Amino acid sequence: MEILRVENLSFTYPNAGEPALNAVSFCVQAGEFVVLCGETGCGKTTLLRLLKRELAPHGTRTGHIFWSGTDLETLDARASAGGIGFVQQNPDNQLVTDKVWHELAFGAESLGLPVQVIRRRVAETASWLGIESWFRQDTDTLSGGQKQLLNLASVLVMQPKVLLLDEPTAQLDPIAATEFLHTLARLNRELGMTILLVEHRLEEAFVLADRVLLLEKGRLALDDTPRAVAETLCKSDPPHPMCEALPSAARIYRLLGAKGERCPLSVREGRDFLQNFSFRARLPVPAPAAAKELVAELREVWFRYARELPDVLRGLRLTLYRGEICCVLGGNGVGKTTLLNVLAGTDKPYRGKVRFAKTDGRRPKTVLLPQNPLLLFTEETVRADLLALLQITDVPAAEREPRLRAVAQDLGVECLLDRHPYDLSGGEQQKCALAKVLLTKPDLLLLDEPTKGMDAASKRELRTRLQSLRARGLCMLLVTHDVEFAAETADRCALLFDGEILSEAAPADFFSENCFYTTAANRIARGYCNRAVTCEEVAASVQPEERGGALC
Amino acid sequence: MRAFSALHPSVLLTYFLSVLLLTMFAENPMLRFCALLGGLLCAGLQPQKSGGRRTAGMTLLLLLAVALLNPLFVHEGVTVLFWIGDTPFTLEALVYGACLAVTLAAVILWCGIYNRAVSSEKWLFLFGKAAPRLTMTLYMALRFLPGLQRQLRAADRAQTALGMQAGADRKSRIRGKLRVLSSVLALSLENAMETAASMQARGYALPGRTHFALYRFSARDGVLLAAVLLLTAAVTGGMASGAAAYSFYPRVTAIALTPAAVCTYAAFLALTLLPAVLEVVERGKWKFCVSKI
Repeated sequence: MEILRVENLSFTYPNAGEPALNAVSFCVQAGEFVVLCGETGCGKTTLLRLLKRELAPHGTRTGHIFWSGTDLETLDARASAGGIGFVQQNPDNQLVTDKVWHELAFGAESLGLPVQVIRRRVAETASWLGIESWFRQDTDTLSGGQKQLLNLASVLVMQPKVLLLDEPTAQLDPIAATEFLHTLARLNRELGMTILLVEHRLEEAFVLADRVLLLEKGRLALDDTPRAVAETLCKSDPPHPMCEALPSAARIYRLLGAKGERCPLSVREGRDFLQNFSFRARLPVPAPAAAKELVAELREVWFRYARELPDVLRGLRLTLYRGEICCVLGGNGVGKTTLLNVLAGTDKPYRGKVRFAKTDGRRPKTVLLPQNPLLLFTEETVRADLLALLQITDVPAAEREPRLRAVAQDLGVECLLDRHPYDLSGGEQQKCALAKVLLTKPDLLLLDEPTKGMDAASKRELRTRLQSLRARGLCMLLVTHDVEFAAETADRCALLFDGEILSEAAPADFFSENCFYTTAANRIARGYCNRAVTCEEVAASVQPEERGGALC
Repeated sequence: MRAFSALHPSVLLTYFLSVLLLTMFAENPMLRFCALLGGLLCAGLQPQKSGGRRTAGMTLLLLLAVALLNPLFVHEGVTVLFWIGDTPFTLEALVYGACLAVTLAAVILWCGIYNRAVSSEKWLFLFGKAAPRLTMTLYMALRFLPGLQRQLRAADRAQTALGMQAGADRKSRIRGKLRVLSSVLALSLENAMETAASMQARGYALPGRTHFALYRFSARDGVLLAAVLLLTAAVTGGMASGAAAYSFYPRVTAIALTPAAVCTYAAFLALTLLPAVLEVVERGKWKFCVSKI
């Protein structure tokens, strides 16, 4: 049964030359799990919002949207609000009330359901999703993953026929994100819920989906099964920009020449695929780096937030060197952010020492880029904001403009300087925030979850930027959940667990020794070439004569 | 006070309204002492917060001051105890001061108990049916303020780490804090747009909103509400009919001990002891159950 039909849909934002959507047509059958993907700015969020009348953006629209045969324009207000569920990206901002149970009831209250009915629906939803244990808690006390699950649950209480989700896992850590996606899959399989998901974490979404829609500059470029879409992308020449967002198995398949009848999608299929190849004995080990120059050292640092609270850091030891990128990985609440605050000097350890190596009698300048880059901005435009920083830090007036221009040019943010920080996209905000902290000429740069909410292209851009900063002798400490990013970027990875740094090594050693806490590429290659932790390394380990043309 | 605060919010609100009003309008020292006794017992049964003892000491000092200061400023009454210069210090004014202190103590105690038993949520619930939209706005405000505070701390931290708050003099420090405040307010409004979208998406604009809450009015709540209303009516009747009348000036009257007056005292004592009794009964049940296991 057809539940959604989009016919020739075009949309143009006011004052925009190019249309955001251009003659998009597709159908969704009841019970399908559809993933909508594309590069940033391809119109996927616009399309999703147009499907929900209450959230439709302003602009000129042509074409038709039919829900179960009824035109969206003429759909009854109650059917539209209750029948089409919508979950947004940010887990915090979607919550309306201060109690979990009240948040669950919010939508049902709007529909004007009798209290007895609300009571039953809230109860069954909460127990199906496993919310009972925090049912009476304040919403502020929940973790990000719990908040997003609550947002989903509060939509489900309204018993929608279709779920629309706009990058619901972008702000979550990988474990919570995987759990969320599996909850969606369970809804789809066990209840036959129709799901339309906009997502850039395709590693899991491709395996779970029935169909993938690929948008390209407002046009529907591909509409097929995940495997067929992955195969088309892998065989595209020149490589399609979305190739790097594909699941690791598909990327390895592409790097090995996209040969073979089936493009692998999951880790298991990737392992099966690698059976057809023989591997070189060992990857060439890079030469050990020259003697390293110390920047900062944490010696047996102990920290807690209040006398009666438990310790967050317990005798933590870490050394940081000039010209390296160090990644600290770890789960939620192990003290990653606290570690950065201690280094930035905003949290003082009660035992142990933070020692900085002095150069020319000067302490290395340390700056912190927080998880939410918007916290750094205070002025109306990016330019005014950067100038304000230079003024406050007593840079002579004549030097300000040139310094600003140099940094802006360096990071490619010149065209963003006169915009309001809030109007920028997530990746652009991050870039401008980086420009701001670089204005202070730091020696040690601390980054808190820099890849949160970023798509593959922005991640690659950030990686090149960090690498060019490294070449200039900067020391960078990243704390992150993003195993893939750490494997591709870091010189050194460390695992923070229970307030201590437990293992510390180069990415190849660090990840190849881990079984669970490692990249998907490494899990695929385990047993074939253990030391390969990125897709490129896996492909490079295959005997040269067996490789296809993509890797030269 | 778990047993008591678990009652339906409407019972709680009626109860506190009744006790507080009666305490404030009671002239008769017996009634005043009943209010104080009930309040003390109730407060004694609550788990003490740290610093509770200090607050109690300060309150006691304040009450002593009220009792002693009244006769210094009020010179009515015929029984002069002694003269301070040309002004008389009368027994009636002293007794009045003492009674006023008792009432004040009782009101302070009951307000504290009210605060712990009736959270803002229960209070809002009662008005939710009458004005669902207004209540919803208040709920959101309750959530917004702590969030704003957290955001402010985070922004201040980020700016400090960047050296934006390092100004030496007070003026630049204040300017720095104001800059953070204005930017965080702007950011909160930005975030509020997303909240508004989430509300729209879940049909907030639809007419005929209902109001859901976890509270259920049980038979037990009904019985207790009836008891509260009955006792309140009895006390009010006693006070209005003059059975429990009392006056301080020009001479303190004797405390009435007619059957009607005694009934009034008993009713008020029963009313003020209600939470303590509920609590003690429940504790007894637990003790009894535990000893059986």
